[in-house]
Order: sequence, then structure tokens, then C-alpha cells
Amino acid sequence: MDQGGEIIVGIDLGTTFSLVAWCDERGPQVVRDADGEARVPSVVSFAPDGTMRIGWEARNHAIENPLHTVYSVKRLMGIGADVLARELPYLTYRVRPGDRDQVVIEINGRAVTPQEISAMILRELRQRAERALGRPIRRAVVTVPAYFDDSQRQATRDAGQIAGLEIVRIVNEPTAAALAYGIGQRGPAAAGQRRTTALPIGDRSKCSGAAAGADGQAAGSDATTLAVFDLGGGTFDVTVLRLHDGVFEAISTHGDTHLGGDDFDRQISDLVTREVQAEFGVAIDAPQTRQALRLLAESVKIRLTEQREARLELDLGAGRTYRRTLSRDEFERMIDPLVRRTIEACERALADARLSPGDIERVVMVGGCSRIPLVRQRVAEFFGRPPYTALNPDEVVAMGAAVQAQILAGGRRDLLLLDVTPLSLGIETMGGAMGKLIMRNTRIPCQAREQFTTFVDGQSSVKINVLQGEREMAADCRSLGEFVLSGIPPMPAGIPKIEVSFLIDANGILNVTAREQRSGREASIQVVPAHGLTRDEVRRIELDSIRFAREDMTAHRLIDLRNQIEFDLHKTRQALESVGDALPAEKRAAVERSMSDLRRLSETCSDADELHRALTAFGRSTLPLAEAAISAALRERSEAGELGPTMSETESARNGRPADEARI
Amino acid sequence: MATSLKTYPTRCSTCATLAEAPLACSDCRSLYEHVRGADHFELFGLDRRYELDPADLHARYLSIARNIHPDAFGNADDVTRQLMLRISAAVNNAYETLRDPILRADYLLELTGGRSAADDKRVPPELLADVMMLREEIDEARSAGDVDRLAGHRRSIGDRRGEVIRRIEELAIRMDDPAARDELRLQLNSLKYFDNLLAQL
Repeated sequence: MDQGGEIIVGIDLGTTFSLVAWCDERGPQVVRDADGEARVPSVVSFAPDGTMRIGWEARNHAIENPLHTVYSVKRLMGIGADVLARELPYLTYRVRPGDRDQVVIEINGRAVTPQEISAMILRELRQRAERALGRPIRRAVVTVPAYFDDSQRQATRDAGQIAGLEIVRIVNEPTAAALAYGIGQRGPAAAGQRRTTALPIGDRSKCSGAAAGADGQAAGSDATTLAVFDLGGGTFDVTVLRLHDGVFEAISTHGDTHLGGDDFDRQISDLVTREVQAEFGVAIDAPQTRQALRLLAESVKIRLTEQREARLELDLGAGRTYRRTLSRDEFERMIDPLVRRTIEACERALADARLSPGDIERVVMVGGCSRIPLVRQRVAEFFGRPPYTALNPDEVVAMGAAVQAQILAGGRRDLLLLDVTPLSLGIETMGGAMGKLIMRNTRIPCQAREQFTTFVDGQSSVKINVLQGEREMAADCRSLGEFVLSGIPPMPAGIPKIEVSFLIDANGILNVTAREQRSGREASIQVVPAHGLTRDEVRRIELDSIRFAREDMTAHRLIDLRNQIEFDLHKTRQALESVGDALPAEKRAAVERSMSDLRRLSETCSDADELHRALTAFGRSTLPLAEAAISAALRERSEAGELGPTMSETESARNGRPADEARI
Repeated sequence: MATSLKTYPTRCSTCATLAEAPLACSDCRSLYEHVRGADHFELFGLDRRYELDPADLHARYLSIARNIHPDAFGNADDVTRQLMLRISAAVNNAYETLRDPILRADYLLELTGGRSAADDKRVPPELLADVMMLREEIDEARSAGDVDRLAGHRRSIGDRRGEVIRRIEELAIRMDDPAARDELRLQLNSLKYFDNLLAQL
């Protein structure tokens, strides 16, 4: 588990929140901040002077800085202009098609790729882990939605490389959740524990001719068949797995990489937009209002999980305010088609596993949106049993990633994950058809071989369009890119026999190699990804970011820290003036003392690490004051009867996160 | 018919641990020499014959996977990890082939020698006429919008497919009989026609 003091962390790089975890002798541990919060919003914001904020701070200032606050970037990873067209109406920052068929985000006139934004989030998580563990972190297991295609997985891996983090394994989120769940059932084993049961050599009765996928009855009495229903901020997966003696065997998976909490929020946003247009005759197009609406919609969705109705209020400027009450029934009618899609995916996953709902012994709920009552109700109806909700749906994926990291480090020989590829893989054949080479839900690693030849005498290269998807025609499938085989020895047309091997590794990522059979020569392959960065581009960005990071280490970090200290001191001074009287005299004096200590240190010290520690300590020492400020603010608000985005914004300021997100 | 290579070695040649599983040592994880060039049955330490117990095959598969999956080699060098990746892919392919009764029959045919079903291309004599008639009836029922008749066709074609599979199983256990192998090729080829019809429905 602990290779020469090195720990491999597990990272859940989510659409709305990201988490980092590690494993020790107690089992998986999630990195938390001083308030016990493990979630880091997957939000990055840029001030005009180039200052970058990541996490709660970026999220809390989203309304003031709508054009330069990047959120939900996971939905832009490895996609093309076609998918972007559907996302654009809901993004307040600027995104446009970039080179080839990818998208780029415009920040202060600079084009930034989604991979770079994800890299910034990964760097932040890495730093959190380093602070918590007190040692450098170089390697990580990162989770992705099971239904992510090759381009989206590649983009995630590239983000890791840009962040200077070696992603040793990409794990599917539902599979990671199953691992954390299974560990809970099994309990942490001693490091290095190994299964010693002998292989059963039963008498080999005549084959029953059972369906290919239906070895459920064959798995033995202690096997559990599990469905993981993972509805997150932006993506949905359902995976059917069998747990048997420490082996986590995925049987089938289905999902949608653009279906999640964001889409539920968008139903509310669309409703408000329509009603504002009808009532006031104005369009919601100011970036600030759009951002406020987005955050309002999110908080309404969360409130409706616990309450029967929620009040909405949106300041439209010029003295106009939109107000209405949204009931849970109305919300459920709006999201019903989306929830239905998740159930259809469950049907398809079961069909591929050749199982029926009754065969599933446990349904594990994962992801923030699995808390929505309608979702739970539909899942319970479909599977005919109440879903299992005992795990924290926000943290379980990161915990599973940490367990997988421990497996890779050699710390859990008793556990093994066997996963499947979510999408069929093939090549474009003559006439534009999709010729499938590897069927969806094939266990990985897997390999298929195909022979190619030339059409013209002396032809020295062959182009192959590699596809992923279930449709019959190549144009309806996702192109992973063009693979160019070159270096074919000159021969008459049709004579060269080039054997191309398509290997999907345990990460679900495709590796292509080729060999000319007659000459035995390894043919070289150049890949032009359809929706991603080339190897050269990733390396260049990585080098740039290392250079930037180094500059950061010297000058920028100090400046940022001193600015932050100034800001925090100013805020604390304000709070002291307004609510300081509510504090006992000795507490007030303690706050005053910490303030002057911090100011002195900021002026004299130029060790960034020390300043950082001091700032963190300062945050803790002013907690009593912050609490007094919140109570005062809440009193004021409830007296004024205010609700809506302004409220959730103020609430956020108190401890850095919206109060609405209480867990059920 | 059954091969002489019965099971895997009793002790690992590298660390001398008692062998638990075919293919690789469960202790030091070194690969057994004899598996290089082994067929699918040998990989799993099974006799080369059609009958097998799916539960036993699955247990053998898991036992092997534990010792060759790339995740078990997280600390190994790149060359070893690449090797294990390819071996895992090969074992997964072998497992998928053996556990599927049709793929297994086809594979056995290939191992036994002679023409493969795909090369043979022949089908049982009365099949093509049958399939043509069925296709016409389906088209008729579809243009008439007769959902019940379509469902009836789906059922009866499914039943016929089931019969073919049962016939394949009967033939596949008599693989040393040339006449059985010959008919097996025809029956395997006929499955594709039923599958296509079902896909149309």
C-alpha cells in the first residue's frame, strides 16, 4: 500500500464536485477541509489580473464573474462541436469550436482547453492531499463515468499529465462505488492478504447451454448481483456487477455522459426564462442574471428534495423582480422524461446482462441526484426493492478510487476489479458502414485483430477511421480519429497484409498497433484524434504549465497569498465592527491578536508555505466571529423575508458553501 | 478426442509453490512455460471437449484473472505490464469463446481441423427456401401492421433457433465423428439466418 512512503491517491473528478481520498490501515479516507467538507467544487475562476481561484471561492464569486468562471467543464471533455451546440445555451463563459473537432474556452482573450481546466482542479486536489498527508503525491487513480468514450477518457488522462500527475489507472465511477460498497461488506483486510482457497475442480456436468451472460447461477451461492445507479452532476451510469470473493466483475453498463443534475437545473432555468419572457417581455441574457438563474435553479432543485415547495426570486434589474413558488409535483413533471431515460438505461443494461430486475439483489445509489425523491421512487419501482442509500453518495466514488489505488500499489491482493467496455468499437468499412470488432460490454482488457491491404500499386500508407458506438452507419458513430498506417513496403495492390491490433486496456482506452505480415515489419501509426489533443500538444501544454507553475511558486504565489491575507483581514475587520459585540470580550481580543499577528507576518515573511499555514490557522481562529456573522445575517434575512439567489449567495459566504445542500 | 494435457503443473517452476491455477503462479505470479502456444482449453486446464460446467469455467477464469490482470502488476516494469495486458486480453477472449455454447462449438470445430463453418458456407438444404418464405410472411405481416402475427413469428423463429442450438450441442459432443462435424458446420451457419431474421423483427 505504501511504496517507499509514496501514496497513490484516488480522485473523483466530478462535474460539479471533485474529491480526493487515500487508503490506510483503517480503510479508505477522504481528504476534508477544516470544516469537515470533502467536496471541492469543480469550478475555476480567473480575475482580470490573472489570479486564479479554484473550488468554493470560485463558486461563491460565480455571480460577480460570470464570463470567467468555468464550471461543469467535465461536460466539455473530449467532445466536438455537435455536443457543444447543446451545451452552449447554458454556459455563461465563452466556449467555441477549436482546432479539429474540439472545443476551447476563452479566458481573458486566451484559448484554454477543457483538459487544462481539469488539470487545474486536479492540481488543487493534489495539493489538498499533500497538505493532509504531509508528503508529495505523484500518482493517482482517477474515476470517469462508465459511459465515457475513448476521447473523453483520453482527455481525462491528458488533464492528469498537464497537471504533472501520473494517472496510473482510470476507473469507471460505478465500479469504484461498488468497490467501496463491497469493502464495506467485507471489511478492511490486512495488507497483502491473499486468497488461499483452492480452485474448485467440480465434476463437469453437461453444459446447460445457458445464455452467454447468464452465469449468475454459476457464480456460487456467496456471489451478490448488484446494480450501481450513479446519477451525478452531469453524467449518468448504471452498471450491473457481480461480487464474488473479492472479485468485482462488471457484467454490463449503460448510461449517458450528458444527463445529470445540470440537466435538472436546466429544466428550472428554462421554465423561469419562459415565464420571464411572458410576464415581463424580456430575455434573460445578461451574463450575471444568467449565472444567478443557474445557481438559483440548482438551489431550488436541492430544496425540493427535502421540501414540498420552494420559492423562487430573480432580480431582473430596473426594479423588476420575478417571483413564483415551484411545487415538488410540478418539478417532478418537468424532470419526468429525464428520469425515464435513466430507467430505460437500466432496462438496456439488464438486457445486455441477460438478467431481469428481480435478479438484482442490491441497488446502490451514487451521485448527488440519486437523492431526488422521484429518482429513488422510480428506481425502487423498476427493481422491485428499495434502493440502498446507506453510503454517502458524494464520497463513495472517491473512496472506491482510493481502494483501487491500494490494489495497484500491491496492498490488496485479495481484491480485483474486472470491468467491461461500454461501447462497441469498430472501423469504417467500404460504403460508410460501421464494422464492429469489439462488442459493447466485452470484458477488458480485450483485443481484436483485422487485416488491411492496399488498393494501389506501391501504396505506402493506409488510413483507418476508428469508431465507437452502436449504430449501423459510420456517420452515426463517434469517430475516435484517423489512424494512418505508414511505412508499408512497396508492393502490388492487394499484396501487403497489414494486421492491425485494437487493444482496449483496463482503463478502457484503445491502443492500436500494426504489423505488415509479409515483411514482418512493425508499421508505424500516427493518430489524429477527432476530439482531443495530440501527444505533442499535451506535452507542449504540460511544459507551459510547468513553467507557469514555477513562476507561480516564486512570485505569483506570494502576491496571491498577500492579497488573500489583505482581503481576509479586511473582511474580518468588517465583521468585527458589525457583530463583534456578540462575542465575549476574550474571544474578541483573541481575534484582534490573530489579526495583528497575521498582518505582521505578511509584511515580513516571504516564505509562501509559512504564509499559507498562517492564513489557514487564521481562518480557524476567526470561526466564532464567522458564526456570529451568520446568525446575524440569517436574522436579518428572515426578518426581511428575502429568498432567492441573493440569499444563497450570502449564505455561501458564511462557511463557503450553500446551506441548502444538507444531506438526506 | 480428449487431449493428454490434463492440468497445469503441480508446482511453480520459479518459486515451487503448489500450483492453484493454470497459466500463472498464484504466489510469485510468474507464467507457466507450457501455456505458451496453448489453446483455450489448455489455458484453463480443461480437457478439449464440448461439455463443460459453466460454474467451474467461471471459477477457473477468476482464479487466473487474479494472477494475470494488469492491476496485479501495478509495481512491475512497463514490459511486464504490457505482457500482462496482452495475456489478459487473450484469456478474456478465450473465456468469452468457451463460455458461449455456439462460439465453443465453432472453436472446437476449428481445433479439430477440416473446414471451419464460415469457410464451408453451406446450410441445411431446406433452410434457404424456409427463410425466404418466412421473410415474405414477415414483410406481409409488417405491411398489414399485424402486430400479433409479427409476435408469433418472433416466437416461432426463436423456437427454431433454440432447436438449432440443441442440435449443435448434440453434434458438438460427437466431434470425432466426421459426419457430425459436417452437420455441425451446416447448423452453425444456419444460426446466422435466424439471427438476421430476429434482428429484422
